[in-house]
This record gives sequence, structure tokens and C-alpha cells, in this order.
Amino acid sequence: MRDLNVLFISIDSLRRDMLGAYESPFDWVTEMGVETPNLDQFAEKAITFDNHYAGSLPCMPARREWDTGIQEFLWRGWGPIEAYDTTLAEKARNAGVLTKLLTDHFHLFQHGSSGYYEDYHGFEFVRGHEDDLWKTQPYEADEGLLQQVGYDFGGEQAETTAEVTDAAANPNHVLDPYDLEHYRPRWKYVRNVAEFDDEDETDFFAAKVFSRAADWLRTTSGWDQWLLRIDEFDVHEPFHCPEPYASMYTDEDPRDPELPVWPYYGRTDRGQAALTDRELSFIRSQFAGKVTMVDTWLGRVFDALDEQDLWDETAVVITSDHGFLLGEHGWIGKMSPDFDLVAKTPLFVWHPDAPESGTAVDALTSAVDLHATVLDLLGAESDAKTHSESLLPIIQGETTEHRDWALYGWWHSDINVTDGTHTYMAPIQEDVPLYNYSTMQMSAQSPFTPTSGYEGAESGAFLPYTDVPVWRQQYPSASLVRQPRLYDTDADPSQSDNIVTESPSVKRKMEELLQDALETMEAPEEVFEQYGIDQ
Amino acid sequence: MSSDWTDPSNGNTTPCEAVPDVEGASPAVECCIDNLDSESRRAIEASDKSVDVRYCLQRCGRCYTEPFFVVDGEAITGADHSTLLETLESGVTHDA
Repeated sequence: MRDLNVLFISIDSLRRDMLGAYESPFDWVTEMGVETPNLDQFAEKAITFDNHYAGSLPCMPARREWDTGIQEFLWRGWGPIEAYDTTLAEKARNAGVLTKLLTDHFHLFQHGSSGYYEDYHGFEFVRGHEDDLWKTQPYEADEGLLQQVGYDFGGEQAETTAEVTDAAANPNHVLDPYDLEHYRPRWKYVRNVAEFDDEDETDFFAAKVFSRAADWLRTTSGWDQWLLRIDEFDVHEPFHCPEPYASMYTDEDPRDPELPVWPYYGRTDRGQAALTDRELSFIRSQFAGKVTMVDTWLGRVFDALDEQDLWDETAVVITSDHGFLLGEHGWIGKMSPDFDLVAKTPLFVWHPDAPESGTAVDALTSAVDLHATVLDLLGAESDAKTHSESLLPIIQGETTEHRDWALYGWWHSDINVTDGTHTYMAPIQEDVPLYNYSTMQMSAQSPFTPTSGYEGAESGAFLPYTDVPVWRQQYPSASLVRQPRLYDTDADPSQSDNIVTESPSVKRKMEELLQDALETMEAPEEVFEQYGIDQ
Repeated sequence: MSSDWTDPSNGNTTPCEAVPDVEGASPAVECCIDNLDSESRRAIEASDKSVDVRYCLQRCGRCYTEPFFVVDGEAITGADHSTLLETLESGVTHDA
């Protein structure tokens, strides 16, 4: 096949079961009827991958997989591109491809997560999403939105609007009590969007990012070949929608201060993430509104491809990093056991010469495979050792098989393996030492760049995919599931029936699959012990 | 001790119905793994209190600064986690 331009789009937190191309096992999703006409139309002509799984979770680990082809969660957590990594952009540049990044994803630029944008020929960053450190001038606080993003003015903490806004205005706010409480304080978002008009969707992030992408496609010519990477942070929380999307799936007043748009992660029945039925219904409606908003503005990119007659020379890859639980399994968020609602992600690939366009393929594929796939589509060579297996043979119709297993999970927690028909959750054993391997002194959570050393840190060439020495530092681990869990995802796509006790032979098969996967990956010795797998 | 995660029998149920409050009226106690050292972790494991150890409670600034639990959604702080467990024992859970 000929070399193509590549438009590689990720849409953060996009639940595949809300898209017309995929089915949902959850009644409330089907009944809500989330509108995604542009993605649905795209899926009709693209290849829809029906068995695609995330790998390293959550956001930034997923991006390192796409960018470097390294499935990092067996070795380290949330962090930077490593000194020994060679990124997708660098490999494309080395092949003579013009590279461009468009994003509103603050974490690419955040303290402790360097290396994700520097290799592109050019990048544009739409400012203000989530807790982007952007606006600094004094402003008039929107007390209602402050409450919707999580400030508890009437609760036991007795925060007041004045205290929160004083914190926002305080140049020394790093040490004020509200930053101590929230660290990445949510008032930053409220300040960032203070001048947004709820009735004007062009103020909002997906509109800005996809509009710029459409403009870039219309105005950029003269290059033989390009890679345009769009990293869209929506649907990610806060689920703060403009109209008409805010009212599209609810009869509530979307600006009722009692209705949250930024839930904590956790169990919905108790604790800090607890939600009433009304609150949860509203959050679902705003999430769905954001899905439709993203689809609407993605349509502008498709329009530009139409107008510029680019479809015949461009491959288009659309995916997401993970999903988001909205009350299913008693949880909200992504920091949960890794059910398919979080880990089974959408993937569509348009290739102008693909013989199977317009069809769905059932082959088991993994997020890390997109690294080699994009390089193959560009015709770029890579001699770096990675975990990525190109999907081009599937796209070309040469095969219908791809992987025997896919691994996914969070570093320092439980691991999951699937063969495409069953998913197996293996709990991490917290009494087995856990290590982080990195050239950086890093923490999986905040602060991302700790200023004191860790006891017993060692250095050495510990990694199977590079000879560069790294630090090995011990960290605590935490299991969520505690006991193994097994689901037949063909028969039980909602994963409501744990069959681990009644299906010992399937459990054994999945344990053998996990063993095979860890051995193939050359996982660290302690990882086998952590998950109770023989080496 | 750390409490186990419990899933619902039917994924279509509403969350409030989904996970029965098996511990009755006991408070929901959550803590962040990065807020614990090995000694405090052992203290929690040895305690008869049910504490959910999470890998992030999105309260990173407080987590960096001082020992804390989140009890029924509200943060309580103390000199160390053993003290916090004693606070739970006494039933006084508001942040002083």
C-alpha cells in the first residue's frame, strides 16, 4: 500500500457504548439514545475494531503507549516520556513527514509529564481545560459553577465563596488551605471559563480544538506527507456543557448549583463519591451532552477533509484512552476495577485502499498497537524495540487474527488479561514489593517530582527494551478487587456475573494466558509474584 | 483492615441500590495509598475499622502535607494514622 497522511485523533474518556457503531449492555444508555451522527457516518465507511482494549491506564500512560509503543504499566506509573524513548513524532519526522499536534490536554504540559509535545514540528495548545494553570487576573467568581465543580459551601467544611475566591486571587495560593485540600484546585477551571458564554458553544474546548484542526487542514498545503495528531481532552470531566448539549438529555436546569458536573471517583453509595439518584442522572446527562458536542465538532474536521478532497490520501485513526463508569458496578469514574466500560475502547480506522472498509473486525487489539500502526500507515521505519504490533495486516485484509491476549491495568494495582471472550482480573498482592522503573525520580500521584529520595533506591539497566540505566524505587501497591474475578464478556457484556468459582478450567486458562503474556513482555520478576503467577 | 470492593449483582441497577451498605451505620472511611507509610498501613490492617485504601482521593495537597482520612466525605487529620484510627474509635470524626 502507498504511504498516506495520517490524522490520528484521540477523544478522552469516550465511552464506546454511547456510539452508534457499538452496542451498550446498559439499559439507561440505550434509552438515552446519545446522538453521534458524525462518528456513526464515519464508522459506516471505516473499519470498526470491535475488540480493542486499553493497555496502561489512565490518561498519560495511554499516551505513552501511543507515542512510544511501550506498555509501561508493568514497570512504572503516570509520568514523562523517558530519555530513552523515541516518540511517534520523532519517528515520523525522521521519515520526512510534517508533524503537528493540536490539543487542549493540560497534562501534556504539566509538571512531571514532559516530552509529549516537544518532537512535533509544531503544536497548538488550547488553554483552560480542567485545572490548566492559565488565568491569573482577579475575576468575579461564578458561585453556582463553583458549587457544581465540587465546593461545599453549605457543608461541614463551611467553605465560602469569598474564601475560595480569595484563594484564587492570592498570589501565594500554593500554601493556602484550599490548595492544601485540593492541590489541583477546581476553582482554576471556574476562573478559566469565567468569560465563556453557555449559549455559545464556540467558547468551549472541543469546538476550539476541532475548529483549529479543520482550519489547519484547509490552509496547510505544500507538504508531501503529514501527521496531524489531535488530542481532544473532552469528554473528560468537568462535565460542563454549553447549550444545546447541556439540556439535550435532561429536564433539569443545567446550572442548578446543587447538581454536580465534576464528581469524585469512587463508590457511589458511600464515601466522598456518594451520589443521589438525581445527581447521578444529571451527571449522566452532561456526560452524554459532551459526547454529542465532541461528535458535532469532529464533524467539522470531516467537512474539511471533504472540502479539501483529502480522504483518498489520508488515513484516519480515531480512538479513546479509556471509558468512564457512570454508576455501573456501583462506581463512578475510571479509578475502579477495570471493567470493559473503562478498558474496552472505541477504535475506527479509515484507509482509502482498505478492502474491508465499512465492516467491523473482531480481532483482539490493544492500544499499544496504534504506535506501529500509525508508523506503518506513514511508511515510516522504526528500529526501536517496542510492544506494538501493527494493525496494517488487518486493515489490508490479509488476516482476521491479531493477538492472543491483551494486558491492561494501572501500575501499582490489579492486572487484567483478556483473550477477547473472557476478562480475568488478578489482584495485586500488597505484601510483595512493588517497584517503579524510570530515569526520573517520580511519583505515581502527587507531587509528581518529589524533592526527597526514596529509601533503598537502586540504579541499573533493568529494562528489557533499553540498555539505558534507570532508577528502581519501591512503592506501596493497592488492590481494589482483592480476589480474582472472571467474566464471560461474550455472554455477559455488562460483566455482572463473576464466574471465577464456577469456571475453574477457564480460570486456569486465563492464568496461563497471563503467564504467557508476562513472559512475552519480559515483565520484572516481582510482577509474576505480585499476581501469583509462576515464572 | 482494608475493606474489599463489592460489586452489584446486576449492572443495570442504580448505584444506590447497587452496593448494599453491608456495614450498616458505620462511617465510610477512605484513605490514599500515598498518604500511608508501611507502619500506618500495618496499623490499618491490624485495626478492626474498615478503611478503603484508594490510589488517589483527588486531595493531593492535603495528602502531601499531613496524615488524613476521609470520613463520610469529610477530611479528618491527625499526627499519624494510629491517632486517626483512635479518633474513629471515639466516634469524633469532624476535623478539629
